[in-house]
Amino acid sequence: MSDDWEILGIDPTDDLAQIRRAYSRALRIHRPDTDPKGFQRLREAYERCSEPSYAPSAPPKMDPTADLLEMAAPPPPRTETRSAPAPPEPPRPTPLAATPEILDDPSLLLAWDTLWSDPSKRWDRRAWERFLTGDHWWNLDARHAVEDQILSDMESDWSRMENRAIHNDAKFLLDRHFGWWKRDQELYERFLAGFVDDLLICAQRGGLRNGSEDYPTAPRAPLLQGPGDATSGSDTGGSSGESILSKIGWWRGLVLLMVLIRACSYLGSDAHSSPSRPAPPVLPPKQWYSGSVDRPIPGYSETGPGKGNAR
Amino acid sequence: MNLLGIDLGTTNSLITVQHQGKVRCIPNALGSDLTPSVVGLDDDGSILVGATAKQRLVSHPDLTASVFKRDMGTDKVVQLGKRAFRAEELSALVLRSLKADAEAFLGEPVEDVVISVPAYFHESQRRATRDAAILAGLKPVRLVNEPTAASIAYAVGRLEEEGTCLVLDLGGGTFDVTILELFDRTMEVRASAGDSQLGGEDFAKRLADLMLKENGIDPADLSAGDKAVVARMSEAAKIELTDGSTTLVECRIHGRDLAWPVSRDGFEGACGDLWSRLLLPVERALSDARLKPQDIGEVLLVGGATRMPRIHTLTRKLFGKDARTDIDPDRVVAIGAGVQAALVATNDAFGDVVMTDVCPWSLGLDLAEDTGGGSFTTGHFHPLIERNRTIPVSVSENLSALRPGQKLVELEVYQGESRQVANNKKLGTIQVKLPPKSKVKEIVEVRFTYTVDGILEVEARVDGSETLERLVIQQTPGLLGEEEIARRLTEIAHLKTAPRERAEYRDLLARLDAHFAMSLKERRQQIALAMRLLEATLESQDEDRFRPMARRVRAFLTQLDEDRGVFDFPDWAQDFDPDEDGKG
Repeated sequence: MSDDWEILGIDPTDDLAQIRRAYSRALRIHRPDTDPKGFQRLREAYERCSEPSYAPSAPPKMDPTADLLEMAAPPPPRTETRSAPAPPEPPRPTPLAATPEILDDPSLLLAWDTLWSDPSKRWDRRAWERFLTGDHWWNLDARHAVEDQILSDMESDWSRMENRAIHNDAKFLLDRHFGWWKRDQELYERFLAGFVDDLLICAQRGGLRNGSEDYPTAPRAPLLQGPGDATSGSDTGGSSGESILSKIGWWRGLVLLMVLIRACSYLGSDAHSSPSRPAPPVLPPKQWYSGSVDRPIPGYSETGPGKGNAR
Repeated sequence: MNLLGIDLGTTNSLITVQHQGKVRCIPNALGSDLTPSVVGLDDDGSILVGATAKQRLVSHPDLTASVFKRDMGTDKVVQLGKRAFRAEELSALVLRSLKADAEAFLGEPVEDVVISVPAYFHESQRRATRDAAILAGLKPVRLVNEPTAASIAYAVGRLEEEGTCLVLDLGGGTFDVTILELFDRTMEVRASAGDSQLGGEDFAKRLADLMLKENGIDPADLSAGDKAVVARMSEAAKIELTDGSTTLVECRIHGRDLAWPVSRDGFEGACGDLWSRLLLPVERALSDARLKPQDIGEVLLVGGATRMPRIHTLTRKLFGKDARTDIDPDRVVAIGAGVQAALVATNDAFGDVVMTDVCPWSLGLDLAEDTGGGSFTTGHFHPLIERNRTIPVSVSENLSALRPGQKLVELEVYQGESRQVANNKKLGTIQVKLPPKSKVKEIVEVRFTYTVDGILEVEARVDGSETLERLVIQQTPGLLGEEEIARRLTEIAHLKTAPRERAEYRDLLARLDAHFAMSLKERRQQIALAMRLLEATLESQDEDRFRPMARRVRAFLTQLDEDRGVFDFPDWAQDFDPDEDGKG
């Protein structure tokens, strides 16, 4: 740890401006183009020293992967993946932090409420398009607040099995607007995996129906799998299993293809070394998705996400 | 030896040179420093590049290719005459023409170049760009991200200042957002994000769709020529709507004369969802840099498409301040590439400035997960290099085989942000042979190295062994192998480009051709006459006759461009008998 300060050539400090000046000075010697190795050492030292809690006496940093492992452990139903936010991601504004008093213009939230609670509007594609058009979306605080509201409303609708009927293209329009498909990781961290699966699968179907080129044509597979699936020959469920099968062809019989995390050497941690990660929570069989994906099948709700495959 | 900067754009390309601390754009044969990124085949089979080829997009759509930058790194080919061209080859022809212009201007051979690429260009698109340079006989010393180049151009004059600026780069075919921080003569890119399938062309396309829809024309009925007219007219109307609030589109499509008035509001409405797509990368870049909109000191708009007034409105809404307008959005990237070239050459002009960039994507492997009971699921993306890490960076990780006695480990390398590799971009595969009859689960050390050029190198080594396996990029679809490059290099060298000195004639004729296709009755006849006269004077091989004729035709074309021109007959044209023209 003291090495880091040595690399920067200064005494330990929490003065960020001083750290940055030292970094900038050392950068003249370890230029990224001429001394990549030296630069990387310097950069890592700089980043560590710039962490708020990085003082010589501070306790060692928590391994960020520990949380992930915890997350992967079988959680109680319903709370599956939402427990721990991923540490590397900067926190996004929470809905509470951006409630209407921050918004100079609460009209977006009102518009959402009206749309979401009025069945005739929910069925109207143009109502969705109108809702998603306009300059007020370029107020980022308002946008995040409404986005969070939309996601949590839809999630609670999904988990309570209220089956609100919405226009078939609505989830596609929302996805195109918020770019959820391209940041699924973040959504899985914050919302129920089953809900996110459902949302993204619907968005993709809507996109393909509307001739959008932003989605792969192979159907999206749900994130979580039953443990039987992988050995029975359909790796990721749905017909993307076929593409994997055809891709690996005869290799499949010969060897097992993939490898497991063992250790994360650059973190110097053994946290990854468990070769047998706990099984992820089991999702309902994939046939569930072949029905009307725009709303969950009522019978499924009794077991709740995370248990359905048990029978 | 000069080190030059090149902006290889979707719509236009430029080449710049640094001289006495100033970077300037080099003009092409037609006297313009913007060379349209269009390649065409002339009637005699020689290659046309730039404005000359662009004019023929309307008259000879089947012999002309444009917007091929979007196909870089794919196997898509464009058929021009007898030969099918890959995007690398078309780009190489543009680069070759820039090279010729620079050599004519500098009077010495040009080889080493810095080429700008969209920040969001992925691995294979970057490699394809390098291949294109090699095919053009250039040495790509460095690739620089376009928004980074733009911010360099902007920052180089104010190195003693501190602050954060955000660059919005909306080019013809790509959109990039980069956040740059300036301190102590250091330019640090904090984050980059983008959309490689969104650009000015998409906005023009929306206008074209609107035009067809409102005039009740089915796009399926259009011939290739009609489509080119529609594309051209919508591009022109889009530009008209930058300053005016309405414009009138007049042209002949599918045998019909159209006069279609369109307003800016109508155009902006037709682009509805494209505007919100612009916001997504901005949001991501801000969140990755851990900044809020109000933390941004200055907003720079780069790329011709940022001239659209609504972009200014939206950035004002988002950042609460006006974007800078004192930089030329068409040239700033090329100038930045020139500065970067000077920096690479450690040219004294810019002293000890250091620039650091980031890798805008996450890079990682397809990993199996043990689901207990000896079964596994595959398809999980495991990033080794997280997006927006400062580069160069090298990361290694130890992975274990799934079971003892496994003979082979297949490492599939992906780029992207999705949890499922199926939704990310596959870059290649490495196969690592494991020691036979091993009793343990073998450990494989995998190392990802991302260079300053934004090129990924992957190495894998079995624990305790000396053999290194490297990612064999040649197996990647969408890229050329080394032998293939060598073969195509010879082929391209044999493709004849129309001589530079005839460029003026070709340019005039092509422009006349384009107007001919778009014009109606009387004017059409006048254009045809001008073409015949021009051709006849050229064939006379009499410089004294051709020069004045060319001047007149050029004046006529200027009138046509400004609309409603009348061809001014040269007096001596009376000598010319139209029945004897050599056209047939």
